[in-house]
Amino acid sequence: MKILYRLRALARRLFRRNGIEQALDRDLEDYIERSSAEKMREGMSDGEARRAALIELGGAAQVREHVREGRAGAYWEGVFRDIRYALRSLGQARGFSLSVVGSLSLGLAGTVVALALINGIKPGPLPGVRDQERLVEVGILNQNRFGWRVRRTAWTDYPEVVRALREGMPSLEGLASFTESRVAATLPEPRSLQAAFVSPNYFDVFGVAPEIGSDLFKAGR
Amino acid sequence: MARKPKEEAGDKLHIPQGTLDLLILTIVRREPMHGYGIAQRLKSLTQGTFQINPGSLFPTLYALERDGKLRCQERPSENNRQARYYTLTRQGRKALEREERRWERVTDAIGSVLEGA
Repeated sequence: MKILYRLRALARRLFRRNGIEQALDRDLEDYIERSSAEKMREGMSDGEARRAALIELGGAAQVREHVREGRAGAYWEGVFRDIRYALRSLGQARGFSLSVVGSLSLGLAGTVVALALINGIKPGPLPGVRDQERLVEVGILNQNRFGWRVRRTAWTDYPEVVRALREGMPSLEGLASFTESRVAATLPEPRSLQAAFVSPNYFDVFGVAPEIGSDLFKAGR
Repeated sequence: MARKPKEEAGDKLHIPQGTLDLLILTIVRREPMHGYGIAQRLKSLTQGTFQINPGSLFPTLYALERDGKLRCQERPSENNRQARYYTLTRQGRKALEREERRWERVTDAIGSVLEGA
């Protein structure tokens, strides 16, 4: 089909540049060899014949440049001609064009919706936390008997582990630890709340201040 | 002293503009040929009147290949290297026929002027 042929030609034009350079090298090498052989048959020595062949060639670099110049102008001209031709052909083959445009639209719409959903689900920036792009989570993964890797988070209970990690990773500016747990509180009614036990430098590492109350560690209590 | 005419029989001539494609396509019509062979065939067919240097030959060959008029086949040469042989495509054959008709018209027209003047 003509349209497919033109699209293939366009793709070839866009991706075949390196191959052409290599082909030209082979062409020029072959030219020099044949020309030298001819000159040797006429009575020249090996070296003279090769020299004369190179002079006749006029410099491989210049020939390459001529080919490149010829192609550079023609390259974009050809790309635009292929695009124009493809568009014109699509205009003429209405049924084919409609089915192509239809399937592309459906495919693109599906992708856009999927990406929008992912974007919506993905958590946004954490409010008030500074330099979020420098924030990393360090965890220890344990393999259980099913072979699954589960995370151990109870670091606050193991301050010596946190200290060893901190000393072993000098590239980190700070290392805070936390353990999440449910706690019971009386406010004034008794309630069960999700809470975190954190290391003293927790707020410093995140660069945030407590929303209510005070930083107990800074207050020295 | 009488001025010597610039060009005489046996002298080299520039290949008329726009005819190199026609000459190359005609030469490879009979059999696939490598670049050096094409240059030599042109020289021998015109008894040395037209000589083409690689700086003009290869850009033209690559343009003809790009336009789909020539196709390249790689074959081992006499010294076991891979050599590229140019061959005419169907599109190239059609272009050649078109160019031949055009050239006939040009030469007829020029002939008519020269005879009628």
